[in-house]
Amino acid sequence: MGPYPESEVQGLLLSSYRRWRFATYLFLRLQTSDKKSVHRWLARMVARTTFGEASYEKRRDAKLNIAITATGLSALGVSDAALETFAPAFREGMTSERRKRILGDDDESAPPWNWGQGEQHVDFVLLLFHKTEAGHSEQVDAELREAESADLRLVYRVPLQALPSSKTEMHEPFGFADGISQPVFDGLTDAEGIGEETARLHRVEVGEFILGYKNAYGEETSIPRLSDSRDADPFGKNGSYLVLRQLQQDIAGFWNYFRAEASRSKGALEVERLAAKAMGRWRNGSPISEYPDGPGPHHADAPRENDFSFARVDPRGDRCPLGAHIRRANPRDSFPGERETILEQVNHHRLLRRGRAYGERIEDATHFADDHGERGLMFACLNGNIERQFEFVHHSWCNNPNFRDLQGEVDPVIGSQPSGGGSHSLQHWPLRQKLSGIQRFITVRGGAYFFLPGRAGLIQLASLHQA
Amino acid sequence: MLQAVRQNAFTIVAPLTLSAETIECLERALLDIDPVLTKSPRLQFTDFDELHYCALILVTGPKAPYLVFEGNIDGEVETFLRRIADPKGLWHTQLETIYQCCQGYGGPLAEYLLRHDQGAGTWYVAFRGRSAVEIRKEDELRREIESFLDRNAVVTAGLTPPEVRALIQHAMRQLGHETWARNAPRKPFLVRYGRFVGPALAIFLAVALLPVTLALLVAVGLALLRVRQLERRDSVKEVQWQTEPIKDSEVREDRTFQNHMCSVTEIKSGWLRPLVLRTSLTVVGLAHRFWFNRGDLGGIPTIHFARWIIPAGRRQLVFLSNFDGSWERYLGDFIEQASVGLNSIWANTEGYPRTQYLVNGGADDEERFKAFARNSMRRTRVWYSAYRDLSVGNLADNAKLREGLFEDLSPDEVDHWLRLL
Repeated sequence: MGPYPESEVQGLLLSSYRRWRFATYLFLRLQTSDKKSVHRWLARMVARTTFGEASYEKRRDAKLNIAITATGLSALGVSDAALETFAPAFREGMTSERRKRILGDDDESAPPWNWGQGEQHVDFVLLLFHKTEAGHSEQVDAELREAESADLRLVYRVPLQALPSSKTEMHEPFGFADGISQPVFDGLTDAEGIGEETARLHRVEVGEFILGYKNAYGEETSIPRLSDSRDADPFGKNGSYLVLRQLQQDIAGFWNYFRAEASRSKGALEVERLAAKAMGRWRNGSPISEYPDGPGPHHADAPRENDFSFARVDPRGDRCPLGAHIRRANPRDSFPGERETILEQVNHHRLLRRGRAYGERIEDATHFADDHGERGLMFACLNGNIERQFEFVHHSWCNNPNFRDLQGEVDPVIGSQPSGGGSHSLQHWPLRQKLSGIQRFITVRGGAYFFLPGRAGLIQLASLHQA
Repeated sequence: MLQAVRQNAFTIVAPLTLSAETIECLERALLDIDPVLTKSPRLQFTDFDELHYCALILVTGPKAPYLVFEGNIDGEVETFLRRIADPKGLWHTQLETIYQCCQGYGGPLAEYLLRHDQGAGTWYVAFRGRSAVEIRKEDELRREIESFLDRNAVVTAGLTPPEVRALIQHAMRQLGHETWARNAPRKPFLVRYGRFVGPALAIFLAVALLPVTLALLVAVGLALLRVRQLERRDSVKEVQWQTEPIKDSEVREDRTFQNHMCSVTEIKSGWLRPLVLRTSLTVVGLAHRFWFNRGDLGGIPTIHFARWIIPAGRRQLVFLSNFDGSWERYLGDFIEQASVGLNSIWANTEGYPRTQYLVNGGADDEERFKAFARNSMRRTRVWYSAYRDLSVGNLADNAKLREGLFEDLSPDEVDHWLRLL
């Protein structure tokens, strides 16, 4: 049991809905001055929204979660003074000059986007999940009808790839097992009976993800409010900030690059190894720091394999390069210093990830010939402090050109590479090797910061103007 | 061995009249001076080899506004200020346009600048004795070695560490770097021996002047008790993010890897707080001179130059810093590494999160602390860094790379040296 009432928390915080294989995200915008219809729509939404993980919820075939942007709150009549109680990044939105710089959304990744900016700005997102394909398409149609009746405009719709039905791992479109490393906090089923090492590596305070509880600094995160009245329950309690980014992946470009580098090395380096040196894991999810010679057991067969850390087996990056994707996005105990302290500090920057792939599925990503279809990852993460968690990981680690005092290189997989191509050092004895000419493999196609309210918050939102 | 250069700092505080015209005048004068943008800035900072960093900040507020021009340089301040103020020089016209907006300006420019210089205050330097020229040359050396290795990856494959190093030495010798590389300036005395001298000196003085020591301890104890009384009366504020100052200062951040920060806070009322503040600053200053002089300040490894200054005649604390990477990371390091030092300084200023006995609490209240820091910031109007892509760690690595290039090294040391690349 966590310190929070599960029935007050939207389900997405507690589960990634692995068995609800079919999913679609609908991005909506208010377009009427008649807010009554929108409030009615929100009021009816409360009953359809998935909260907690109560047993009756588990049996439900459909899941729905809803989140709102700062422009959405404004459009519903929330005052500027009340908006000031929200995190600055949320208020500012993802596409301000400042935020674009923090996130590296320049060149091809700069807006205009499919959604989230300018003419395509969004107020709400509906996240729809279903166990069956037919059921899902009915679910989407029904929600679209409801939205239309409330005069909400559909700005964009992203159908997600159906998750594999078997127990096999989720793979992101480049072909790597994904979503493996997740933080755990009190109240999650994952948090039960975890070992000491798992706890050290992955356990964080609830307040890092659910507002109103103790965070990693032992403080209660400030809770946003909808009105100046101090008496009312704060709107943000049991809520969370949701980050969504539609990341188009250049699958052919990614594998062609590593093939070219492998052939340039005249057989000294194999394609798979080079890609693993960039990612930090083999395609099946096994960490290269633990399995330097070739893929280890498949992640799904050895879930505890995620309790690995770097300091003891690979302090200098000879196995997993210091700048590899997973060693930037979650450095674990990689930084020099006292291990417990380092882990505690690194865990001030954890993300609860809920990403799913979109676009047509590819069987063999490694030999994919570009068909100019749009594919990629609908990145989603939840966090209590956008600046300290999501933006920090992106900015101070992944896109930091001097991370670990490397010089002038960013994350080889998701980094915003300079236009002339970037580099990636592979530490090695006696001398490092260096990949160069790395292009951007990821282009941002949409994105926004949302607030995912708790049950009471959603009800408050729906009744905003009846008071 | 070459003698290390002596770095210095200036903080020119020019008073302004509280009027819209003054501000407008300055806005016009400062417009378009932007060394980060490549299109011909009006002040060519690169003309001055001895310049590490400089910045111009307009401090406005309810009290009398002023203009801060701060810089970190090699050599004497007077020499530098006379150079930039030289009527025949490149900067004279620009600087004059700026200072003509200030209260009581009358030429000559150099005298005005010198008259208003308030020095370095409590000053932190990551690497004492390293000149901007050496730093940039060492960076060039690294780039040349790296590019040599990248071009010759096939040649170096399969070689032993000494063989790889010999190839690098040969290439660098051919480029004419040997004499320079062998002549690294000697590290200043306190950087080499401060960690012995400092504590030894402290113990010696404490014992030799035992009555004074005891009296000081009693005074500190009493002061802390009084501080605790005052702390209980401090109010706890809601986290307030003031939108405008935040936007104003953030807008310019992160255009380069390094960043600049200027924070201005009001010192709390009464006689005790200023005294405690000055004492804390003195302790921090001494800790830096004797201990934290190898690239980190109390565990914060990302500061190149920083200073605290209390402008003459004002109850304000001005903090100026040139640091690596994001503000979010910088502030995170503050909280995680150096909260005791931070608290003992900023707890004496208005709006800081509540402390207990000066050093506890405070910055641990992460959100309030960051909001306090953001809200205290003033936009840096003009900022120049002579090596804006390099981290403090890079500077340290580059120096080791240069020092080790032609030195006699043991096999282990050769391994370590090659790891710098």
